[in-house]
Amino acid sequence: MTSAWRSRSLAFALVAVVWGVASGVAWADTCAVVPGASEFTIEDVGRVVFEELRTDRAADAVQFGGGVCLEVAGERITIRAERLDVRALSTAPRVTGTAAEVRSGPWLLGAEVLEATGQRVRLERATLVGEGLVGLAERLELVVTDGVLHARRVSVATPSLRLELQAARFDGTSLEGEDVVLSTCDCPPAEAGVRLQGRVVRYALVTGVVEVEHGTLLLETVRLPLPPLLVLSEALLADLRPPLTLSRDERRGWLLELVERSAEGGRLRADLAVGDTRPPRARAYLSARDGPADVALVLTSGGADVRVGASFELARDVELRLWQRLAGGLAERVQDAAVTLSLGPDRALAAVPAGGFGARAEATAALSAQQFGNRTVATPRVGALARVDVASPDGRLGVLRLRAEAGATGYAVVPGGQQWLGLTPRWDARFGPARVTLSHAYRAVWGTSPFDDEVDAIAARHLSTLQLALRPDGGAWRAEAEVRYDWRPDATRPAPHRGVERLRVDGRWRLDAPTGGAVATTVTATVELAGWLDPRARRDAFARFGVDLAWPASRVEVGIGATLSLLPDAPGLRSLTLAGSAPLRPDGSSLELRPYLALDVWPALSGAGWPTVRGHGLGLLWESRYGTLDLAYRSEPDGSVTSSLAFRVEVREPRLEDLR
Amino acid sequence: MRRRILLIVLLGAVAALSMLAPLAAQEASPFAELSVTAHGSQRLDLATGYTELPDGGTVVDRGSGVQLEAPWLRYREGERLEARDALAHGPFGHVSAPHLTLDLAAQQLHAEGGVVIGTEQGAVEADAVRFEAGVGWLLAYGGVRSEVPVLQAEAVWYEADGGRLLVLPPYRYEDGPLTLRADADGAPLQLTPAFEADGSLAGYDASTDLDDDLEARLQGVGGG
Repeated sequence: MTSAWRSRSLAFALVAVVWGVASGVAWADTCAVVPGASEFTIEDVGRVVFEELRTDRAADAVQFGGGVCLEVAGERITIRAERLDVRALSTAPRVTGTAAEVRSGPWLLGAEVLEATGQRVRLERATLVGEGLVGLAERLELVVTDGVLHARRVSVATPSLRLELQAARFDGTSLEGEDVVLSTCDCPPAEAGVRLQGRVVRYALVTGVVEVEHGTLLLETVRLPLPPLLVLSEALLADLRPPLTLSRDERRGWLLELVERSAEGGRLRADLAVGDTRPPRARAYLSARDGPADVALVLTSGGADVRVGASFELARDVELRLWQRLAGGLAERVQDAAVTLSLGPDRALAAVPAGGFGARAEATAALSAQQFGNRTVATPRVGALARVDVASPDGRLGVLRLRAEAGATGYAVVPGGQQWLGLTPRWDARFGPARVTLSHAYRAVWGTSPFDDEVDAIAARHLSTLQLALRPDGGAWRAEAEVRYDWRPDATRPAPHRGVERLRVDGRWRLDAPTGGAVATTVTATVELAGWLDPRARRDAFARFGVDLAWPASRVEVGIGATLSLLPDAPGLRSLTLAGSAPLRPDGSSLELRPYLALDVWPALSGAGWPTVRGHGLGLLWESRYGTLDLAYRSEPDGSVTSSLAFRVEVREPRLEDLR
Repeated sequence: MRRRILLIVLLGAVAALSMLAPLAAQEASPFAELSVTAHGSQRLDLATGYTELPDGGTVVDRGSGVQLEAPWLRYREGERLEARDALAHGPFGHVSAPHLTLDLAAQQLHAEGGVVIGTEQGAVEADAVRFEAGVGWLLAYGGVRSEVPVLQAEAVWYEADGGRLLVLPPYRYEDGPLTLRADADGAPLQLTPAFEADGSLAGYDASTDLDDDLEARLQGVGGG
């Protein structure tokens, strides 16, 4: 499309609008006869309202002028122009006109040149205006029977996208086109530095969801192939899954994780432990699946672990799996080649539906070897497992589930063997806003395995868990409590029955700023009593309180938090943390930074030293002509870490002027 | 002589009225050798100057073959003729009108009370007809219904010489696949006869853009 005809299109559109206002023909969806106008009916075409008319019997033609309105297909399509000519009047009437405007369903079309019959309306150098979409087309054809528009060489603007297509089809709800270039840039897509090319595109007018088939992402001159089908929506862009995340692992400390999933079922996961010198500092996990076969490769700084398997479904819920594992590391090595026959689905107890029943049995035969330092264990082994799950119907008192299991292992050339019986009752109930889960996992084990749990060793369990949660629907507050008690004998316990693993209560109350209000307040409290009742190592006892204030309009946040130690041997204030965040944006800059810092000032107040950093974060907001990129991470004083990546496209009112 | 003039005007008007049907190409023959035959008595009213034919009579133009017959008529030489239930025959067909008046001084003919004009193509009906002999225009008005062209109008002006019609709104005009309709605020419509190569009437070309001479003559006559 040339700029010349774009300019002419604008001129004609303006003429059409001005004429529509100024002419005597009423500007409505139907052609109304107003004072000074007459009407004319042409069989097989429609009804014409006009001010001037001249028929030419010799030419078999009629000419309408002075402001003409033609209704085609009843009142579904109206054509307006200063002048319309009808040829082949008595045989196959054909209407032609210039600077015409067409209304059809949700569309308002303009054209430099128009030709219409009772079946089709053809427009050249056309404009297209609909709800949330405008376009320019070198040629448009409106099918009278179904109201579908077919366009050639078309430019389209939506609230968030600009598209150029070689061919497109518009119905009342969607656009489907071929050979497309699209971009979120408020510029011609072909000129955008970041753009998508695709063979086929579909755009849903109501939802704004875009599907691109066989697409390529172009970053200036760099071309990146996309999956066969790419689905984009405003919601998806606003909630991207960042490929790189920062998280906190209890054992390995800070982890920088890269997660990538391909459409073919492949998966890449890599992480790097930051600030922790214990292995593995870095780890990469790659997996792929092709039909029944799957492969997984784990690479760490301590070695490699390769798992290859193939699963075959012999019958419904009957599966035969062949697999082999080779793990080589500095500390230990494992070789395991096995075949497992299983019956029944493998699912968690909580996933057994109310009133349901499930059973699973497994039998494994393997040739296994494991190296512990200089000692190596190698033997053929067998194992068997049987499990039955049952759940009560969902009643007033909730659902009671029960899992019973039994298993055994045996070895051919080394002594040993394990047998175990397990029983896990679980009760889930909901009483208004309160949810209760009480479970107990019990497993009695006899015998030993020559391997560790990397191969087949089974450990005994005797753990009770109680979880309570209060979450009023739509409420501003919530509270949760969790108690875990390990009943297993432990020589390090101060008393036989003091096996509290966790006794924690969490509460959060949030008072959102009312619409137009200034500040949102969040109050949090966490109390952990496990270390107070059972003061073994790795158990803690503390109370943490915090108040955070946020000003949504200015995106300023401040917070104060205090952690009080409840450990019997070290009571007292543990930390007093002041936190804050404020956006920083130089004048005229498209870049905004939102640093976050949480400082524990208690060491300074108590004279123990300098304030220490307990939390940190950084948000980066980049506003470009393509949209707004929002990238952030935050490490909170309570140890939680969040990271986010979002891309928001500015919602613009699509205008024809922008396409010219 | 006066009687002759009167009848020329009268029959010319009737012929023009008939041209609402497609007879426009016909040249009206000059009226000559008129004769009046009274069906009964004739009375001359000295007070008014009218000659009354209470039993009616027949007026014939031997040159054109036009014949007018009425059961009652009266006339005042050189000024006015009145007829009741007049019936005229001629190459144009036939015309009937309950009341027919000819004003010689104004060169106007009025026919009213439900005028029917019968032609080979069909009939034209109107509440009344006024013929402006001086300019050659005839106005049919009040519920004009024509079979050829298929037309319903409030008023139709007819040009005696060229055969053009000026249809005044509101009207409804049909021509094959076309139907043209205008309400009282619509534009006047000009219908111009079109002829086949053999001279027969092919139909009419319609236009809201009036010919200059037609519009000027129409303005001169008055809107009707």
